[in-house]
Amino acid sequence: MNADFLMIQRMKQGDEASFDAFVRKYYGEILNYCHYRCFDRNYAEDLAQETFLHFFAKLSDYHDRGKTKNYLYTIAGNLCRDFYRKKKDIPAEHEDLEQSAVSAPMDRVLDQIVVEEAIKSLPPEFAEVIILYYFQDLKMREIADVLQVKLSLVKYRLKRAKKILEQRMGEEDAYESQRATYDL
Amino acid sequence: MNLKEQLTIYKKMTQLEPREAEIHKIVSRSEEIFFQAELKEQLSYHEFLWAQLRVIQKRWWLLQFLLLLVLWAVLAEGYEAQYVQRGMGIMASLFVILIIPELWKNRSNQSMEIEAVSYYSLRQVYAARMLLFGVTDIVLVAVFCQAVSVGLHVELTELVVQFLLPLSVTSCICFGTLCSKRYFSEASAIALCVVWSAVWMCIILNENVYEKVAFPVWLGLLGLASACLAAMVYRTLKYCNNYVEASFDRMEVG
Repeated sequence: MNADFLMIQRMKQGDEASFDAFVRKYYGEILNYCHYRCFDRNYAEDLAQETFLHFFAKLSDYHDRGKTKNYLYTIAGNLCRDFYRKKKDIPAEHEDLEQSAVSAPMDRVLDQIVVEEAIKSLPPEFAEVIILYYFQDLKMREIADVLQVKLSLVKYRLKRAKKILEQRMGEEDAYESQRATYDL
Repeated sequence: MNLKEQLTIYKKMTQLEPREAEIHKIVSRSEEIFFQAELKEQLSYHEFLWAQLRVIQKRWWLLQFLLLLVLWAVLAEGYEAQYVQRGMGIMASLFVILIIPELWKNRSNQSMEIEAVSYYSLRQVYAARMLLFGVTDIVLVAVFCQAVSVGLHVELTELVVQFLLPLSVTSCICFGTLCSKRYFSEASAIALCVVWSAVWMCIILNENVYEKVAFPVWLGLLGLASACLAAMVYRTLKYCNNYVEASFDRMEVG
């Protein structure tokens, strides 16, 4: 019996300490995942909260098979997709970048913008794979489970996404160095 | 800088630390949502008993019924009193032994830990099972005693002494061994029941003893055995959570 199995069964019996332990165990990961998907702390917190509420609303019917984390990622991913559909018309905010600008050196902030813009420019299914693989440190098999697609498709998407990202970020770097030359 | 390094730096820069207030908010809202959902799905007593009835194998009841039929046949044949008395004592023990595999199947399948963490507590599961077995067996035995006393003109006092008393004692042995804090296998419970049957036969076939003990004394012994059985059942319900390898309350969640 793994820890998640026990924790879930105890939650089903109404044990409040287990609720706390469960949320603490997974909240950080889910929050960061949502953040990489929407690039805004407030939205990310709302999405992470929604993820847990969705999970707990169906907890009685949930049977642990050792993949609770993947299940939470699947819920969060679906919520982020819905969020994207609704958010398309709202202009993007850069609150987090403003915060970073205060604390980090300028070139780091520029790098952050470059990466962020490059990820945003990816097709959503490619961005999803990049975020899960590089930022959430999931294995390819786990990503396939989260996205409910074949492993071969995950490999293909990751390869294509990396190529596009390298291309986009290379273009940005070339543009920046060209600008620096002209400024001199 | 390659892509991987750039992404790693980006990850470090943008990593969010969860806010304590947010965690508290989510925990309390999660509990709220879960309990609301649970209220909608709560089973009634009848539904719970029905659910337990569905998972009990009915073949043991069928075997108990067949056993009573055999006893009926033995009584109807009009054998000598000695044989009838022996037969009743053995049948009474067998009648109880037949519920061992079903009532304690979680023990033999080592599934008590799983049941202990199921939505309903082990106490509720045990109580439901014992209620179902108890009601069915009481109905079976009551109908049998009624039919035998009316149909075969066997005295009720004889049935009480020769069938109900050994049956109650055998039940006490089963509950006492299988629901004790120490682990006893089903085989040891059955062995003790067999020993009890032998002792009982020695008592009942010894005319000197059997004739001397008056009916009120037998009735008193039956009352004592029933009280013991009630105490064993109460103990089972009270301590059933302690049968797992470690007490359920001490299980740690990592």
